[in-house]
Amino acid sequence: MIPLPFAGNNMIVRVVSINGGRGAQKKLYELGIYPGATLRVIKSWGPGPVIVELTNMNPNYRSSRVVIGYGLAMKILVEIM
Amino acid sequence: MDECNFCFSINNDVLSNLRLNERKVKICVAGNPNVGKSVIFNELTGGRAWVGNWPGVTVEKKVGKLNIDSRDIEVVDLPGVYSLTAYSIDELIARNFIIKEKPDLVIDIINASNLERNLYLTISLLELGAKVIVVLNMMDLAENLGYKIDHKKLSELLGVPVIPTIAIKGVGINELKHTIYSVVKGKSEIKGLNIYYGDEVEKAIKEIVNLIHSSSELEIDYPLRWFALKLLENDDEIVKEAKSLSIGNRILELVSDLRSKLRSKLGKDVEDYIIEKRYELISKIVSEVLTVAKPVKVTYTDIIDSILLHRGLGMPIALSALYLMFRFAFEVSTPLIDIIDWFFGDFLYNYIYNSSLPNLLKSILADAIVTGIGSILVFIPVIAFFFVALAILEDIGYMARVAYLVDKIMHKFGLTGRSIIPLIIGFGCNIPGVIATRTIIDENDRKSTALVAPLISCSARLPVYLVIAGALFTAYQGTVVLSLYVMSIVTTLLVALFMRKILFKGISTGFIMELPEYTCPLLSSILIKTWERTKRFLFKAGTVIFLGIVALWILSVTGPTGYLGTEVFEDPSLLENSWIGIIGHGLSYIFSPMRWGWRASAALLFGFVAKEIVVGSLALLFGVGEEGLETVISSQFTPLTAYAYMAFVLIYVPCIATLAAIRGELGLKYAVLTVIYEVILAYLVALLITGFGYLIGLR
Repeated sequence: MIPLPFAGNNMIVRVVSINGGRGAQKKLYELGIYPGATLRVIKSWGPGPVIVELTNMNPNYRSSRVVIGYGLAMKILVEIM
Repeated sequence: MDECNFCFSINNDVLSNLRLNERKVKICVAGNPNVGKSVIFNELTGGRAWVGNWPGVTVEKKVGKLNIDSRDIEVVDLPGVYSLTAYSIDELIARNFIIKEKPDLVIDIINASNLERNLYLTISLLELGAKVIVVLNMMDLAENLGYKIDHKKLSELLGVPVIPTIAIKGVGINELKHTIYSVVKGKSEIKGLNIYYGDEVEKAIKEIVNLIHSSSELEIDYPLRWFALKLLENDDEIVKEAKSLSIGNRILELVSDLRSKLRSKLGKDVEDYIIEKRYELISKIVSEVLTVAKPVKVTYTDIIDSILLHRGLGMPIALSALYLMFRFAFEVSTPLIDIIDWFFGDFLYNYIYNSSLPNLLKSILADAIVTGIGSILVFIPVIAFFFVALAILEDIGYMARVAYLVDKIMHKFGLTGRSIIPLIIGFGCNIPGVIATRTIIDENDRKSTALVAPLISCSARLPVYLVIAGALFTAYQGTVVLSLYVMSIVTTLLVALFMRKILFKGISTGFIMELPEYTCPLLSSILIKTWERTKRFLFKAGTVIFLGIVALWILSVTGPTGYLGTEVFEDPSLLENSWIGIIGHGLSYIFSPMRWGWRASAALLFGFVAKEIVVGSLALLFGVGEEGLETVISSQFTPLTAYAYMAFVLIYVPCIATLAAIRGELGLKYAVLTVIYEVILAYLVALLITGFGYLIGLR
């Protein structure tokens, strides 16, 4: 289990837990990032915001992209699939 | 209470009430941001909408009319939201509208290229008991991605009509209108959908509902099942609502008891479980209706992003794009500004003075009213073209990228990338900038951004710099003006840091934002957006600044001795006896370290009304036309005192119209705070510049 920003570009990860405040958590949930969701890391460099793509159904599906600030992304624990 | 609160099938009694001829029919348009909601709203209403406020808040409410079968249906544009929790004003507005105003229909617009995320709102709407028509928009985008969507199947699974559209090309709009018509007429029925949350949660819902049922005198606006579910989810607003009920304590006790029981049974918080269940259902639906013919590996968006979000190239490109936006606005608007300036400043002004009206009336008309209207209208072209350029960048999808690029820098100053868009808008005009802070989720970030937004050098401050720098820094005019813009950005960021560290402490919710696909902007959408922002300047500034100018005219022609006559405008020495002269003298004591003199000090008072008036009032106070102003300025100021003066103009008090906007967004307390901190800051910066100049031998 690693924080989201530690996953490399183009990796597919599954969200294990989100430890942010309640407001941030809800916001992430409604954008499709919730425990159990799978994401593809599009861009993640150093301590900067991370871009992920939601790939819940099939990694071949292109879907919406979400930017997550570094601080918040560090609170999202994921496992690499 | 009727059992039908539990289910979604609308019975025939309700439907017959919806008949057009019995009462006014009201529908609304809902959807995520970036789904083409405003395009569909405009298609339905023919682009004619009137604007009001939502009850109790200052968020704008857009209402239009859809004419079907020669009857008018009211169409309300709900704010773009991702769900219906109570975490932002926009979500609360959308939710309360559906609950309290009970629209006959909700047109839910979803992005076909992003079904999963968009269906979350659809499910939330259905759960709330709304009668929904789903519009599957952006079908072309989905096709480009190789998606095939079985919309009939989707309609079956959701139990609501589903209409595929490509709104920007007008495809499917007629079918949508037909469907609206037949549903509103009661010719077709909407079944709706019921989510089953598993035995444990369902049992808990039932228990809460039964408790509420047992107290028969209760009046709840909400569907009971939904009310119970939200209590289990610990929704702030609904918990508050429950507390106010006579058996509120008993309900909340039961809920907290059920929540802890469920936590141990489910192994997680029940609110997390409920959201997962919803997504589970959505995944099931999507897997049944969506097939990918040929998966697309690389999209246009990927290619463009690989350049625009490039580690090294991203920022330089963003800076160039923003610089071009400014150049475009200023260059294109110059001829229009000249025409407006000539019309009000020369033609109309002289026409009035050459007429046979009495002197007092001439002065009121020319010096107060015409000058006032002219000084507002002269800014319209530059502001409008600035907002045209910004709307193009926004509609393409680029501004979201800018927010991404600057997030890291903004983070160092306690803000997030979200704050950049209101600040950039502020370069055009601070008023829509302050209002745009609404899109910031985090309360502390939002307040900080709104309070520093007036430090952004709006287009009204530029003429002050141009005249003064032109008079004293001829060869370096460009550099001096640029340095003031840099100063504006630096003070904005530093004050923001101060606010976030001292005034609005607390960890930010963080930065979360959707990156939309790049799309070709639509002319009508750009024009509407531009008009909506420019209008804020026109109306707010129009009334407030106009009244301010009239007030200053009165203070100029009167003094402690009474009415001085309109001769004050020809003979500036008479002005010394007016209220303005007296206040100017008073101010010049305060500003004595900067050696600005009473006239320049009095001009600052005018600038309180609107920054651009500083130039005109300097001309008025020195008794010269704007042509002779440069000579007077270069004799009255030194480069040092002039630079300090410009810095003061940059920082001190935004115009009163911006203060009115801050009051509207954050309340009177914060408007007063803005005035106080900005005046102090401006004074200190001017003092610092003067002191530093002395040290290095400037006078």
